[in-house]
Amino acid sequence: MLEVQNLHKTFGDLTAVNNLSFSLKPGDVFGFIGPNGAGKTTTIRMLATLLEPTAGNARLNGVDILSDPMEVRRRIGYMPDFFGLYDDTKVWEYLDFFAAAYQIGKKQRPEIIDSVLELTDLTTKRESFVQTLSRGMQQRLCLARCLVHDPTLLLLDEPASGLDPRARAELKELIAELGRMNKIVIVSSHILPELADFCNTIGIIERGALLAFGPVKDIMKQVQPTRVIRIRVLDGVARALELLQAAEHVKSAEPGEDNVIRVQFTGEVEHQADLLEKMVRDGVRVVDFREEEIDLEDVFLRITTGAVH
Amino acid sequence: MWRSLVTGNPMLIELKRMGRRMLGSGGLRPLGIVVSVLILALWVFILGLARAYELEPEMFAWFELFLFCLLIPPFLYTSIAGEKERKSWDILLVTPVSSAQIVAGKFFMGVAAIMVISVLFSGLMLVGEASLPPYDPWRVVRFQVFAGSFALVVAAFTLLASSWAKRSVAALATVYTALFVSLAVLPVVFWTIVDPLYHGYESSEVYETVFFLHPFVAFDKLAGRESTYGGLFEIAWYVGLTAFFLLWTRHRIRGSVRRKFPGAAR
Ligand SMILES: Nc1ncnc2c1ncn2[C@@H]1O[C@H](COP(=O)(O)OP(=O)(O)O)[C@@H](O)[C@H]1O
Ligand SMILES: [Mg+2]
Repeated sequence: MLEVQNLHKTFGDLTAVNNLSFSLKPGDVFGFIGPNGAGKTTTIRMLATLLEPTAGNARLNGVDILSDPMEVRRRIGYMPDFFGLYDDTKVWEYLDFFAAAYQIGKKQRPEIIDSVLELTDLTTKRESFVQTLSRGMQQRLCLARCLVHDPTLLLLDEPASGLDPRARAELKELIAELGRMNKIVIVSSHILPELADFCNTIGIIERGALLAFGPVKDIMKQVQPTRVIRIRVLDGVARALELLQAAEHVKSAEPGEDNVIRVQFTGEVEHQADLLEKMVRDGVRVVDFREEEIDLEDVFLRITTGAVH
Repeated sequence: MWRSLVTGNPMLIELKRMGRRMLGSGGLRPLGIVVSVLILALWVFILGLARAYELEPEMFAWFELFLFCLLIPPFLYTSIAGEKERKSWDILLVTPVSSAQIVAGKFFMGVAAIMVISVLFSGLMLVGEASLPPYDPWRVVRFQVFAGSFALVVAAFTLLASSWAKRSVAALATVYTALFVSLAVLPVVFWTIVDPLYHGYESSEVYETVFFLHPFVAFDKLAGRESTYGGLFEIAWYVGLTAFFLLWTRHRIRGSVRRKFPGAAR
């Protein structure tokens, strides 16, 4: 468990992080999203015990980051928003150094290095010099470095920035795998869609304040109290429209091309099922009936421009 | 203590990295090896000269002291400031490595460089010594310990400068400036300003007292066999200064953590 309580940081007059509180459990992959300068890096650095909070605290499995940072360090893997690699070392030496730094015995190290290399798909690069790796590989090596001591919490600051689409996809897969390994993963980004598909929890931060926090679905609902249902009928659009407009929980129904009707729906999923049942019973020939995906970028914009709250 | 700082210190990777930097890695390796071979060839050549022309060991000693001032700072000036520049410093600080381990690991890099230079010069001086009876190899050993301990001060001071500087180039400039001022400018100032006040030979006594830690002054005494306890007095001072600079560096590192995080200092 990671419990963040009223975490606060000011730099002079500037409030970089404003009373942040949230908690995460093992297996949570948390997408920490906000525009540049929102306070993501500052928050992550405080959790990494590199920056002292002005106020507030955080506890990782009951260990306090303020009173016992050394113990917290053993349990976190921190990947900053820059590489900071040593170019003049070989891949395995680099990992061996960090394993030693985390006080892992000489005998266990080779096995651990092999396993993190395999996880990050760098096994063939074992003997290569760090400087010869591609950007994507260097990024994965940074991640491998964070994993040598089997941390409980991973703090990944903008890991996908500057990667090509392919490297980005590989990284996403890897991060999702870490969630399946029951770690708590915090991934920051200033681009929402980059994270939404593999995070199960999302937090949106702007000007230091957490504007929204929770499972992806809940946040969507918070943003859009009405859902859009897209219904396509075989024929009789006019009759279907008439029926829909009279139905419960329907805010509006607009016909579109190809016998498609877009319905603004305020009800829950049960009501949605009821609506379909009613239409079919009344003889409307329904071809397609489904909820429209919400555009994540749109959600993000709506939250950060103050359309919510 | 010994294990965590020396044999089991993860920071010893620095030695490997230094070796690579000196000998080069990948494509630069052949070049590094060629340069090392050239240095060795030059060494053998001077060794031959020393034998043939009965060069005094003192000559090499002066040169060695000068080389330490010139060559040790470049080995170490990037050691802390450079990590900050390449941003690997934060990554190092979030590991449970202690500040003492970091300082020790970086310092060993300097010690290794000092030892290489010391071994090369021991050879030259032994040959020089052998050509001037009475043969006294202990003189060479005594000098190497003396010069080495002075070099340790330079190394420790460079580390300290590197822990202060934001940019590593500034650390290098600071060390060279400090060495130049204390070893060259101050003595010149002494001879031009203080000396005329004394009329005569007393001033050299004052000079020796004021600049007793100046390696060339101390070496003159050592060579003239005038130094107290065979130079042990100066060596003790140098070792003490080294320890002082190292502890200060460690304090800097811990401070930079503590200021950010009260409980994090170690
Ligand atoms: N060391 C610092 N001193 C002063 N201001 C800072 C410092 N670090 C960050 N800030 C400010 O705090 C705010 C949040 O920055 P940051 O956490 O880096 O944002 P993000 O990572 O979300 O882009 C920014 O306005 C930034 O300028
Ligand atoms: Mg940032």
